[in-house]
Amino acid sequence: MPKKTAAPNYSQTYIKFINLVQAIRELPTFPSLDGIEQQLLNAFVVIWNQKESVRVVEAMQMFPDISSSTVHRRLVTLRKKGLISLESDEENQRIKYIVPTPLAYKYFAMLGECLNKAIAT
Amino acid sequence: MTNESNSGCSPASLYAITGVALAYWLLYQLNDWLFTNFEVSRSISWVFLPAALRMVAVLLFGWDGVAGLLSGSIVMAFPWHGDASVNSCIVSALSSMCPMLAVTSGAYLMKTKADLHGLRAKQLFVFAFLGALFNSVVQNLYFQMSGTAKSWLTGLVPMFVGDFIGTMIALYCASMLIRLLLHFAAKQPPAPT
Repeated sequence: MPKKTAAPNYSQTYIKFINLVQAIRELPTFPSLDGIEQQLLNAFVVIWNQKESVRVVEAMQMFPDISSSTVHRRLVTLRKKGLISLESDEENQRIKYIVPTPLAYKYFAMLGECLNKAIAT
Repeated sequence: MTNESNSGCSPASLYAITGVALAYWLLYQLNDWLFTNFEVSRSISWVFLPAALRMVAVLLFGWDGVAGLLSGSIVMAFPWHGDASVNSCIVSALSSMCPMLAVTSGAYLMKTKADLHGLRAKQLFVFAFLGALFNSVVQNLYFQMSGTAKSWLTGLVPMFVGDFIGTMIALYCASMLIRLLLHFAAKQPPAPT
């Protein structure tokens, strides 16, 4: 039986390179969202897409499986993460509308791109 | 994780060492050009891009990466000291060994695989943090012992911050470049069969 020689494995470096590139690609550029935040944003984008506006009070009652206080907390975190902003109604300052920020549009554009890639492959 | 490198005088090792040394020198010149105003001293800057290469070189090439970093550092030391003094050689050796210390300890703590399979972005942050920590502490310890630094804080803090921020900037630039390349690659029409 021929004796095995410890040949240098040059492909190991290439495999390391591929894995390193993958990790570098994953560097976070968007704030991470939890499931509820994603659910809220997905619901809002459908409404925004129809050129309609979402009021904070409406949003708090929009999700039967999520309590209104949880929705409110997530609206605060989404605002802190820069994905939504609140605008007051011109006639009634007590009414607040949830509006998307440029980062939110970028977020959905990225999701769309991922979906296109998934379909293409 | 064990750092297997194609050690010895194999052509692959020589390419790796030369490539790392050249890239280190180039990145140093780029850093010198971009961030002159951030320099605290000749060897300390609030933003130090080559720190990223230290980590990447050791992650990819192991001891060959260390040898490349050492070569690059010594070559860069010539214009400063003229005679490549013992002091600059010691600093070069320390700055090339610290990334190996950081990668080895980081890999041990996070149980990273030898082929980096499953490496996550947050683990890169840990490697960057450890690299900055080891480098700043070890080098400043030497500066204190050799009497070339007056106080700990004036060297340690800028070096740590510079290494960490430099690594993050370089990694994010690499990340954006990779995404951009993949974006353009995705737009290319498929090759005719």
